[in-house]
Amino acid sequence: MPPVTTRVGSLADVLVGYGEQQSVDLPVDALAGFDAIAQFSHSLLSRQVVRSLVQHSLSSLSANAPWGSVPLPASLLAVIPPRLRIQLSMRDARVEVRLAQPYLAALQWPDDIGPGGGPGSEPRGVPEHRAADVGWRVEINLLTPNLVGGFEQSSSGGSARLSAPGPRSRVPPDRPEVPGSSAPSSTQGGPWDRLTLVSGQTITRAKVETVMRASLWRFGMELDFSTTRALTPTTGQEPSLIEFLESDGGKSLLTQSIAPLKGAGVRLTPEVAPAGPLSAAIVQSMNLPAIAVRDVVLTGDRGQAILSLCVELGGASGGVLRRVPPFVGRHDFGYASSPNLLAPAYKACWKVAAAGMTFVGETDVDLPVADDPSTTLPGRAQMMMSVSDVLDEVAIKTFPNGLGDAVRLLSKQRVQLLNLWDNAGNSFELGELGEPQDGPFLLPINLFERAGAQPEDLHPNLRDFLIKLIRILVLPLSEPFAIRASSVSGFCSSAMQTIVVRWTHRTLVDDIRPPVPETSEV
Amino acid sequence: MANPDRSSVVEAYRDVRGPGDHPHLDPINPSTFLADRALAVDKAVSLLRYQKYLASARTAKAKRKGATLAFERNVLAQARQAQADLGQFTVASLSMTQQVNHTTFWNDSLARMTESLRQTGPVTAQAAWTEIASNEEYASALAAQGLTAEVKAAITEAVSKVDVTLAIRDNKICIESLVAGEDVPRRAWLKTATDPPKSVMDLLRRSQFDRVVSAFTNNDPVYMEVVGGGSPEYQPSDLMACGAVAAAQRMAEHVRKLEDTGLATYEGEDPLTVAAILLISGALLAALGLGIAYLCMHPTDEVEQPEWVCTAGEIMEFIGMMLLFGGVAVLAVMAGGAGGALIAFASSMAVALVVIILVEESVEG
Repeated sequence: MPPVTTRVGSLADVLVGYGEQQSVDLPVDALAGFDAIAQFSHSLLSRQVVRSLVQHSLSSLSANAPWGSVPLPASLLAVIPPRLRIQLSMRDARVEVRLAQPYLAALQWPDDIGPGGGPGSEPRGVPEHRAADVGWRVEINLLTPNLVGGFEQSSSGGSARLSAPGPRSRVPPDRPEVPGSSAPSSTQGGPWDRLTLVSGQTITRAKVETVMRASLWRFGMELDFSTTRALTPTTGQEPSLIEFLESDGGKSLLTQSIAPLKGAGVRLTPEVAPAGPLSAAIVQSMNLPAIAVRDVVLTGDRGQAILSLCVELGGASGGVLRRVPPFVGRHDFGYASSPNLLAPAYKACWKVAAAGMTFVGETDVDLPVADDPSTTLPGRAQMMMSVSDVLDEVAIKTFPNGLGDAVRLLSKQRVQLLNLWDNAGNSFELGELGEPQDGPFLLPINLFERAGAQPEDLHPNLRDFLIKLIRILVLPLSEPFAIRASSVSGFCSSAMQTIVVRWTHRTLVDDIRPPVPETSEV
Repeated sequence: MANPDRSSVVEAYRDVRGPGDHPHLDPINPSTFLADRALAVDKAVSLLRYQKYLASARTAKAKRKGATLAFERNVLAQARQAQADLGQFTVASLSMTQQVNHTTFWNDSLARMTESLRQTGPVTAQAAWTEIASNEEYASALAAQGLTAEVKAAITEAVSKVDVTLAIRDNKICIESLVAGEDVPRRAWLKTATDPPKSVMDLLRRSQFDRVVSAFTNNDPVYMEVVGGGSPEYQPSDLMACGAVAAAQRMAEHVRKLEDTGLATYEGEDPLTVAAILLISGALLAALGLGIAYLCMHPTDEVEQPEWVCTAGEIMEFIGMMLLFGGVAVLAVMAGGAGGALIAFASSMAVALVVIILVEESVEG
């Protein structure tokens, strides 16, 4: 209820702020009937694409041919110093097409959810298939042997081809350059000296596919480059680049350079793991419900694309794509979930995290003094507590302090008294108090609560346990991301049975200077 | 063996106690005790009036088939005030109980009620309350102690919502609450602080009350739930603490609903509302009973309280506990567990700071 509650941090505050129109649409429903929704900013998707390309050693692609075997346009030849051009006929040299500095250029999404998209947004995209355009800096380079280092080469289709840069590659690493620069530059110190004759931008379009890894209870979206070809825009580029890439030789080199993309499973989104890292055996033994994912690309308040993966469990079909709101806001990742998803996720996560977990700790007690029931002494008790590996119940419950509600986990614990001392250090007979006793174990997780036991005061085992449990609310991804700590925000509402968490990834700026708190939400 | 002719619990209790034998309420700081009592009554009345306001607000919204944002804003403002009132009411009633915990009041009154119940047999909350509420001779004396017609009507309504009985089982006082939809009553036994702990859980629970009071006083988060199972034994103060936390949670839930989804036009007799009414009414009646018991032993301005009023004050204490357990039993049924009604508290942790640790440990590969 945005106009009513001005307290920063409420669900309404998270979801409202995209304009007056939306602020009167009450109540705001983050889940739109789905069991969970993960939203990704364009920036995070781009980061993920680059990370995945790096993991596959595909962040720099190249192909080359012996000097003279591929005709160069006169405009390119003119860039080469005359003296060097004379030398090229007398030594081993190559022409290289190289793609580097990849980034996600655009998402092309079909309009299959009808007009309107989500509240306050328009669905994007026109094509029949979901597609993503990955942009690259494309360079036409002249490679000459560096006499200091050797070089490796392999033959492919009659033309020599350098191995991709990586641990085994002896091609020197990329040097950061101004994107779009077409000024010749050279790189020295490796097996080859590289002289960039011209550079520009090119696009590789990939089909986007939802990938379900049911055996691990994970899902995400991947790029399928099997039918991709490089599309080099003609506007705003050096004519010599266009001329070369449109020639047969240029086309051939460009096609060869992107060939390694075709078999690679490059991820568009991080893999979402609602229960964290689970083994296939746990997934099977916990009989986790099947996940179905639908997707929609929304537009944020600044026109930015927001990819939403909307989850339905066990054949449910109550979600309405056109009602999905862009709750990620200006953050990079947003995750809304309901107890429907949290329950199986936490039960599986708990099974792994709580197995064999035991704490031994001390607490203050009123000691019973023998033979005098009306007298007690202050003392200390040492106890051992073990937590059942079975989680009985997961619910979102009201947490009465105005900083959001709590995801409440209910299990059982076994408590055993090990020692009793009075303040003078005298030990007491335990008698029947030494018998272990079972009782309920309540664990409310209120992500925004700052009061209560501080992390340094928690038993290390409990703190580690808590971190594992919090992870699936904040970072339900199979791979970590560096997060700006002050950016974590959201809300948990028992009334709406929804928890929303959002964050922004950390940038170089965060590492250089201390982050300025964005809001007082957390 | 119960005497079938002895149906009046007030009379039986008065006979057991003997004339002029007032409960020992020492040491008590009269200044804070009476101030807390006055505050508890004042805030309880505010809460009762809020309940009426809420009902009329629902009706108005239903009749108008909607409400303006200004209307919703006003309802939320009233709810937040009621939440603050409940907080003050809770702190005041718990502070009174905390002082009484250090007297022999609970020991004395539990012993007397045990003896009384042996004479009367099981006593329902309805019967005990009717005896007090229908007495016209001392109505004005009780009203002077806070049991006004308005409060009386509210308690009468709360009592009508429960089927709670006080009985002797296994030689101890047992509260039995039969919740709608269940065949077997849920039971809890009352015990005194001087009963030695029988288990490690018993031992840990000994200081629970003081921790709850500390949390409320310092505005720290405190979280509690009632789960089914077990044959719990509670000190009266345990029930007071449980009632306080549960009522605060129900009120927070109510405010959260108003914040996130607006005012519902249908009130209904949902279990949560019933539980909240029982918990608040129980705590109020217990606070009133303690106040009367104190004034019986420490008359102000030399005004002696009539014997009947003093006895009624102690009986009100027990009716209060019955209502509190009635509320706890409703919550236990909602939790879904069979059997008794175990109260489980959770440690409060600064989870937001643990989130920061998690975030700082998250480094991209």
